[in-house]
Amino acid sequence: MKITKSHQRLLSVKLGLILALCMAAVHLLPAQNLDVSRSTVTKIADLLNRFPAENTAAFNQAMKQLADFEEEELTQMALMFSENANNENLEFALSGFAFHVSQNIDSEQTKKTVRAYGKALDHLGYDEAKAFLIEKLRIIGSDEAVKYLTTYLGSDRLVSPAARALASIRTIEAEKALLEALQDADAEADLLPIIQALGDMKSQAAAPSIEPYVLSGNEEIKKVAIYSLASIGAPSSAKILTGAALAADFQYENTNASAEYINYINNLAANGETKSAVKLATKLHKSANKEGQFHTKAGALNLLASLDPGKSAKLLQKAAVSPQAAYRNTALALIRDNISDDLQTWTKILAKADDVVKVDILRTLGSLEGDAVLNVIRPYFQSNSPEVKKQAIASGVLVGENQILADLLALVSSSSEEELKAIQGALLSMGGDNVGDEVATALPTASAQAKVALIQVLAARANPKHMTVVLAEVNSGNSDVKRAALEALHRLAAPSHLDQLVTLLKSEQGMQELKDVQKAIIAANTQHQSSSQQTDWALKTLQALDKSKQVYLYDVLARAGGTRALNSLNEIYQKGDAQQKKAALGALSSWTNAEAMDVLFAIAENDANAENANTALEGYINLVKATSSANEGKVLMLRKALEVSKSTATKQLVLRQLSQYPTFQALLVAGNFLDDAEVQQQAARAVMGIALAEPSLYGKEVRAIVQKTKEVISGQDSEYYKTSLQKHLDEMPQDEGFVSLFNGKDLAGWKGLVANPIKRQSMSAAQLKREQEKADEIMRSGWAVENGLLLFTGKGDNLATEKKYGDFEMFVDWKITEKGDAGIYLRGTPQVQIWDTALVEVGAEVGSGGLYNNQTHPSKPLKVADNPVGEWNTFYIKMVGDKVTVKLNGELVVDNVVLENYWDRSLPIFPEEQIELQAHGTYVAYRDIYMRELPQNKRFELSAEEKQEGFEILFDGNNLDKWVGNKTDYVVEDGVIVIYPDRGGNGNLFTEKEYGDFIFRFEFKLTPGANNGLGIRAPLLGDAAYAGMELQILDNTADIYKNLEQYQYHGSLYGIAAAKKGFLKPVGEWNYQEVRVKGDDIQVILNGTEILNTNIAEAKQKGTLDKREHSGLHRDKGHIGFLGHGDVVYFRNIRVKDLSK
Amino acid sequence: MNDNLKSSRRRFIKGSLLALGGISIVPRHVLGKGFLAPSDHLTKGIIGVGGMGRGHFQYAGTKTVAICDVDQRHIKIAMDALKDPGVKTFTDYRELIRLPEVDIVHIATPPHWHGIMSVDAAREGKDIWCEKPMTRTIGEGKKVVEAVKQHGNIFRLNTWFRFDANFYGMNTEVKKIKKLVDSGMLGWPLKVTVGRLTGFDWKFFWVGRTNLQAEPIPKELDYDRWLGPAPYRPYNAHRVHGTFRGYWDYDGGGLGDMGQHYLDPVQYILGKDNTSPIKVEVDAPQQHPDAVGTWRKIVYTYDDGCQIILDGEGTEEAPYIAGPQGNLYIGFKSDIPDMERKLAQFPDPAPQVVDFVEAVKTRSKFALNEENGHRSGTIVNMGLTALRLNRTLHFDPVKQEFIDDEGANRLIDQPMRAPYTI
Repeated sequence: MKITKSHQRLLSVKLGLILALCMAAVHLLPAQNLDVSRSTVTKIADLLNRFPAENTAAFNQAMKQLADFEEEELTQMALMFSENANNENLEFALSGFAFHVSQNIDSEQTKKTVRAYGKALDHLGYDEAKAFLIEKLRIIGSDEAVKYLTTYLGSDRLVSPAARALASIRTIEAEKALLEALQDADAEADLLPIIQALGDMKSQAAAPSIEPYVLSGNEEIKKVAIYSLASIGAPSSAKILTGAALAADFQYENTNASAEYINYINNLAANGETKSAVKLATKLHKSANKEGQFHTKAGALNLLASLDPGKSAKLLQKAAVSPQAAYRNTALALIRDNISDDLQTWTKILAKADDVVKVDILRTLGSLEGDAVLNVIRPYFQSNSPEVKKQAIASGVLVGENQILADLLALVSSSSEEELKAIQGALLSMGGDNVGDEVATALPTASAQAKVALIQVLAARANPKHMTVVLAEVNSGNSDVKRAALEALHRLAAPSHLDQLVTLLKSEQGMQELKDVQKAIIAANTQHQSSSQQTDWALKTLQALDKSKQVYLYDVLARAGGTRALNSLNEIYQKGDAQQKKAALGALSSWTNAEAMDVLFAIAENDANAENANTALEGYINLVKATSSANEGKVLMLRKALEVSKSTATKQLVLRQLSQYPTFQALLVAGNFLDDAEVQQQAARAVMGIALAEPSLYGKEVRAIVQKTKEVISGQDSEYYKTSLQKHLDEMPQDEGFVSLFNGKDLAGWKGLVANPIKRQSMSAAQLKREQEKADEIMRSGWAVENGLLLFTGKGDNLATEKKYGDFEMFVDWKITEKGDAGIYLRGTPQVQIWDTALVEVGAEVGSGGLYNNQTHPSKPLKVADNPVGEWNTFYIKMVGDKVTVKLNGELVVDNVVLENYWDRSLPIFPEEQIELQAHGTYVAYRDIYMRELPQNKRFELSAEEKQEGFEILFDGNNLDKWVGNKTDYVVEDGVIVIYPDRGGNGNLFTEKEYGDFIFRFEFKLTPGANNGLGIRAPLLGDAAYAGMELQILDNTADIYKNLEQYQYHGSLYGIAAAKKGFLKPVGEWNYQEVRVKGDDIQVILNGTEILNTNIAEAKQKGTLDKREHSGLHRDKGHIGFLGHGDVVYFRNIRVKDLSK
Repeated sequence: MNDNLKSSRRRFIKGSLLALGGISIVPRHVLGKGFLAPSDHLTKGIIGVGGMGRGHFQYAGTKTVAICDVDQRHIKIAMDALKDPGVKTFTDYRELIRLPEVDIVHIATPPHWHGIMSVDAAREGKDIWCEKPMTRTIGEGKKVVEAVKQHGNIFRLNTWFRFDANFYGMNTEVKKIKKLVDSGMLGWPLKVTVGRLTGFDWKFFWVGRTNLQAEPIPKELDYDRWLGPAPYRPYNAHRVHGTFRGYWDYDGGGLGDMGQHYLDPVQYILGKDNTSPIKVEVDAPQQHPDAVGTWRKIVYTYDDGCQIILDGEGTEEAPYIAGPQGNLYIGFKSDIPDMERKLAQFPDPAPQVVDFVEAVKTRSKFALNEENGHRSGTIVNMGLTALRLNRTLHFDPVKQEFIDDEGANRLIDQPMRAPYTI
């Protein structure tokens, strides 16, 4: 139906293109006037279906449409709110538009919106909708909004939002409205928001009226009145607020009188009454002296510092040495920036102060700069108070940085552990190239405790030239120093230190010591240029070590990496004693790339020691992400891990990783664990991660798994997860999706192979039945189901599906053994190849997945993507028409290649046939065989009857050859015309030919809220609903259409005659419709029911229901067309009989 | 090392630099009487003992003496967990704040209460531990900064990533990242990307529901007080406990609730603790006026060209920090050859006070305090505002206002429902 404004605008925007020039011209010319004839209800409904906007561009486009709405139309839209209904789209639209126009509240557009929403406010029937609009006025309101809001200042439920809206509007008009309401208010509940709003907007005029409420017996009113008066800051309020603060004893209580008093004085000053403000602040500062009042005193000090900086300097100095810490530190923060100007005074103050005060002053000095400041601090490096000394050091380094290096080093040997920490912190955060050298120089002569701190500083700086001095300390008799030195080694180690480190490895005995040396060796060795050099060094050194020390080189080998290191460690693991085994396994499972995976898996699978097997498996699982495989391949690896997993921990690890690889199989695997209590939650999170990341995964099985996940997921945030999963389910297509062809238990759905498709075709039914029975017998000897796998044991013939398939997508996992050879027949035809790539004598080195029997089209796969023999592989096969696409382990190996007809090469491939698993004499296992049938592009054909009657096909599923117009948005997909709203096309789709009297038959499928129309006797030019006639095509079950006129429902002759409602199939199902047009008679038969039978003669003479000009009524012929490209709608099987012939 | 770079970077540290080392005093009740033993416990009252509040009973060096909640069910669960019948219970937080025996007020309510409660606690002279996010609006954050400054309180915003040892999946302490950035090795300006592939998955699914129907209010819950300053809306269970994050009135979904965890360290790393970005751009579906939805991407730009990119879809294959001279990847990996070794020669960032008890006892500013906490909270709120308005916003970091955008500014200051004031 109706082309909406935005579409028209889109037209003119996109029309720069020369393409389809004739159509473009047709739509350009009358575009500016088209919308005048649109009914508001239709425009609104059309628009509401666009919300919520998917992105900013869509949002802005919808906003443009709204911007073109008349004020009354906006009002009408706002009036669509209805209690207990779903107003979601309306909320998106109205709020979105308010936000959109809020940027400039003085614009005409915004004022128009205010008036529109304001008028709706007056007429809406229930409070929640009103509150919604009032909040919009809060965002966009100016004086324009005041009169609409004023109404609600007397309403119990709405006074609060209305008053807040006025407070945000903050104009004189808004203030006036609130003031008047304050005079009129009789209920105390109404007073609260009004008084508060006047305070929020700092209404000077309101002060005298609010002041009496400070004495109210109602605590809430009193509180709000104090807040508002403080915020207003009128001189007249001084007395009453002083009284309230005094009554609160300068402490916090429910009315906030004390703190608001400080705000009051501040605002009084802001209003220009500085003198009075200073007076009040001075008095407050003097009066608040009790314990419990010091934070108020601090507040007063704060005021004085800003209001009277000159006089407050002395006060601040005094406060800076107050025993009240919070008060003191407030003073120091306030005076901080002035300290540098009067350093002499502060030197004296500091000298006289108590230690706690000294600390605070020194901390404050640390935020200043300059040598003079450093000089004030410096003497306190020697303080007897550890706290003072530490703060002096911390502040000293901030101010003096590298200048205090010598001071600090001179201090180290006489400092306590706590003080050393401060010195160390200072040294670490100090810049300068000399720090390391000076520290290294000081180290040998320092006290033991100081040595520890200095070694740590050298370690942090990590300069290898300081290794010597640290190595010397490894031999220290002091265990702390030795420990620190050992821990520092790896930071300082370079390849040149390797010999010394090996010497240490030989001489040290403690396990921790050896670990430290090992770490240093790794650090040094990994600085060698190549992995091979690193391995050489490690293998050579290994031989020179005692057995007990050799284990420490295993991790060195692991970090070196490479096949030689891997094999050496594996050999040690296989042949070594318990200690060697453990160390070697540790090294193997810390491997950093995928090369160790096979070794680790073999250990996980075969080692009888459960702990070792587990460690290896964890190592294997952790390396999956390091492989370069596609997601499908990684999922296979994780499934492999699951098969040998014996612990909950490894299962959980696998499930956590699965969620990173959102494939169909990953979802199925995770779904299998939803009943396993130990890992249920990990499984649920994996399913959620996969499903939400990959919306293309849908169908019955997926739906069931997601549904179950929603039921079982628990723990923190699970309520949100449930919300998201339900949303996902709601949006998931209802199609059956992939269905399993193999139930894991028996051969149900499968049969034996009888001959080939051509021969079977030639057999009689009885003969075929006999042959089938024989074949089934043979099948049972060769094919078996074991442990959920479908196995071919090497005897017999192909296994075939009972069902035939045309176009489809399928998944199948397969596994072969050495010299294995098999294949998958598509439509009864060989084959997607499966073989052991070692069979080079038959050319298998090209890999599996190719269309082996092709002669003219490619028969080899694009690449080798096979997993080693004995491992699972996974195929994704898609066949559409005669073309096949294959992915093996996630890699594309066949890209849309024709499958030739092997049985008769002169023929194209059969349109549909059975799927077969080839029997080729070797063992094959299959699992997870899933199939999704695709709708085939079957050509629509007329029935014999229609042929005889003289029907002509307009669309048979293949092309739009008999159509003109918008072929950008109207496209053919899977044998169906689909309309995509956002492809940028222009206008409608019309038959090429014109028809006067006719019978038009077609099928259509709607999406929720979809809107289209069938134009008849229409010109290519102009709005077909008026310039021709239009029969509505509309999902009038949608909420957004509830206000439509009768003559706008599906099947109606738009604006002229109403159709019967209630005969549409549910949204998403196909409808069949016949339209008969003869002279003035128009009939519509929907799904077998006549929903319209009208004669337009009367309308021609006396006018139409919608009281508009329908010039099209007088046309005797025109095009038939689909009108509107704003929604996704599907059409198929379209044919027409021209009755005028 | 480049001296200019060093001094300009380090200057801002000074403003918030605190005492070093562990001075152990409890000056709270005996202010100025001298240094006290480190074994002295500070007492705290917790407001909001749902899941978050209960998680903080045992913070070292503190003792819970009072709790407050508007839901009696929470109080009961909390009292069972505390196993101390001497703990006082309240439904009105103002009574808890007034207790003389409470040193620290710990605020663990939904964010729409953080501003009011922080300011009220400051007004009573209490020290404050406030859970992230700091405040629900930029305006409320300004009020907290002002109140804390006025009354001399110690304030901790509770997200710890700016000093945590394993900073969100980066597998390193943030100090090292800060050091790398300060060293100048990556160059300037920098671009920081936060998403699934760089340490945090924003897909928190913390979305609200639309079309909520009114439900009866449970008798144990004081819903009106739960709403407090927020606009009144009919009750629905999804609005409150556990799922309140999905509604703009109380929070802002994953970005609102978790954003500060990930944005605060970025402010620190980039040395932006006393400023804010000047621009925010969003790529998102339109947001519902009540229920928070998902988003795809948010980009912040500072006046010097530094950028923060929030990748909501988790697909950006970007370094965590990208600079003109080098990149830093998750796990502290870099494309600068031998980066860690080169970095070692540079000084560490200045030490921070990261023990709240110590901060309170020594009256030192905590590492993440009202000022830098408000600034990182502002980034969150800038993003949320741009999301709701679905447009690019420009911000003045000095005035702390959006430029030429009245609608955005009306989201900075949102009048409260009377009689709640801040």
